[in-house]
Amino acid sequence: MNIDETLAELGHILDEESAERAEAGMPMRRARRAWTVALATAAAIAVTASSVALLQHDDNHHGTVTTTASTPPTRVTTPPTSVAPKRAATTSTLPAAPPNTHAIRDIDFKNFTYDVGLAHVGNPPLRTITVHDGTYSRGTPGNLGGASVTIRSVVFGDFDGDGNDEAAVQMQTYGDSMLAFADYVFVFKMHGSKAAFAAAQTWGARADGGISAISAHDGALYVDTNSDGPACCPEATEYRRYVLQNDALVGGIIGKHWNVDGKIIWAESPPTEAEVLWIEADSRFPTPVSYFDATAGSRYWIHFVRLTNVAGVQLVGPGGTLAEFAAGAAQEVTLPATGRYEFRAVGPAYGKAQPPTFSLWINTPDSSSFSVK
Amino acid sequence: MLVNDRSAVNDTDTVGTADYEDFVASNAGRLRQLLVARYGIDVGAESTADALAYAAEHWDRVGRLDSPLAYLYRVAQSSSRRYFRWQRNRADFPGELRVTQPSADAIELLDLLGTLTEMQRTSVVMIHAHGWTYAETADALGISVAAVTNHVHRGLARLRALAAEEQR
Repeated sequence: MNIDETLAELGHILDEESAERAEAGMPMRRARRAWTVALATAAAIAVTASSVALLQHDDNHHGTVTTTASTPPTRVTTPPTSVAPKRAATTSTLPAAPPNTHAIRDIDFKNFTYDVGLAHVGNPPLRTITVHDGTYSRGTPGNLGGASVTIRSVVFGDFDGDGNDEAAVQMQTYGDSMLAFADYVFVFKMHGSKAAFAAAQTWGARADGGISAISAHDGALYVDTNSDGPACCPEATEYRRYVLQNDALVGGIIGKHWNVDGKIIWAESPPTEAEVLWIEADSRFPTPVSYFDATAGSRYWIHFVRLTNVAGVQLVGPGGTLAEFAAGAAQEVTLPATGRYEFRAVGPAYGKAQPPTFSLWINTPDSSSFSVK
Repeated sequence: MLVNDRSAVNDTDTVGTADYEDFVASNAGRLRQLLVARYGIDVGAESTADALAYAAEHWDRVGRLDSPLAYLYRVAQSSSRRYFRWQRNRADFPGELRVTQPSADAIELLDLLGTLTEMQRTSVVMIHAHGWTYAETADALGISVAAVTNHVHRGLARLRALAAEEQR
């Protein structure tokens, strides 16, 4: 791209577009005027029309009505027969309230003031900071008194299931020494017209690798963290899933991807009963199922890592029980038939009332790995 | 040309409607170029209208200034804040393109310009896209020519670096 030539083209583009806006009569002003008209209609119920000289709309969409009449406005004073009818008569004639436009997706978190208690970042510590274009810096990061903050990404999702989206902000901080860095995830939810801090998690201090990425999917926050090594050279990526409960992030590791051969995904979090998580080859978002479907001739290498309150686990296919595993057992199986295969707990052992749990690795020869737990 | 030569219209120390109309005819487009470069198409156009409305109302005073354009640029800066609050975010440069069909390079460059600081973008666009001189730009923005030079130099350097990165 020739920047000089293209810049000359941009001059004409910007001129034509802005001239069109000027001739069209300013979209923002039209929208504001429409809103003002709606307010005027509402105000006319209570204020005599002749007294209304000016209606203004405040910037928060709530609308305020001011009058500049030569004579004081006179309110309509219809004697109420009772309290309830008066309210009903007034509100029924008002125009419908506009939709709440205070959506969290409208908040620009890369130009935002964070009052989230960064008390241990920098010396003197950062407390309330305002980032511009996603960055904040003070002095020289890595040196005494220096600190910097970078907003790496912002994702939105309904993490608490209340029907309204929340925002998750991935923030990277760097303090006043070489290793004084930390990664945060802050979750914000709307309180009125403002985004309010709801919850936080932190990773990445000294030898911890920190956050690789965050994403939102199906009402959950997914955080990929570097693990088994510092940020320079992590040997694995851990996949974590969180939801927001009582203003706290609740969840944990759902999988782990070793960078060594790029094949193994390991589910560590304690399973419940015989729940099985199927992780598709190219997806980091497991869908809980109690089975997996496979075709005849597929080969799997299965290694049971941990069995709790269970004597063993059976792999049951269309033709019946195919294999039985005890803790620590590893076995390669070739599935004899196409169909659905389930893992079923055998037990429980020790006569305890707790549900049986187990976790295992499954590796496919073609590297499309998945895990169950 | 900036409107700072009032000798022809101010012999009687009065500033009238005709002066305002002359000013709008010769400078409204330039003011809009300046504000669009800084705030994007929508807010730039809105702020220009606000500034010109202010000028009409206060022309007795504005018309006597050495550089009404620079003054109205400041007025528009104040005016633009209401649109930012209203939109609840910062200006979106360039904004929606409705009537033009830019080339792929132009679209890419518009996006890259959006990553510059407002001063860098304004300086680069005014000088290299609209053909203003460094002195005109400095006067309108209320900064020194050296500052404009710095903004242009850094802005172009960043654009070239980003463009090279995109091509990789």
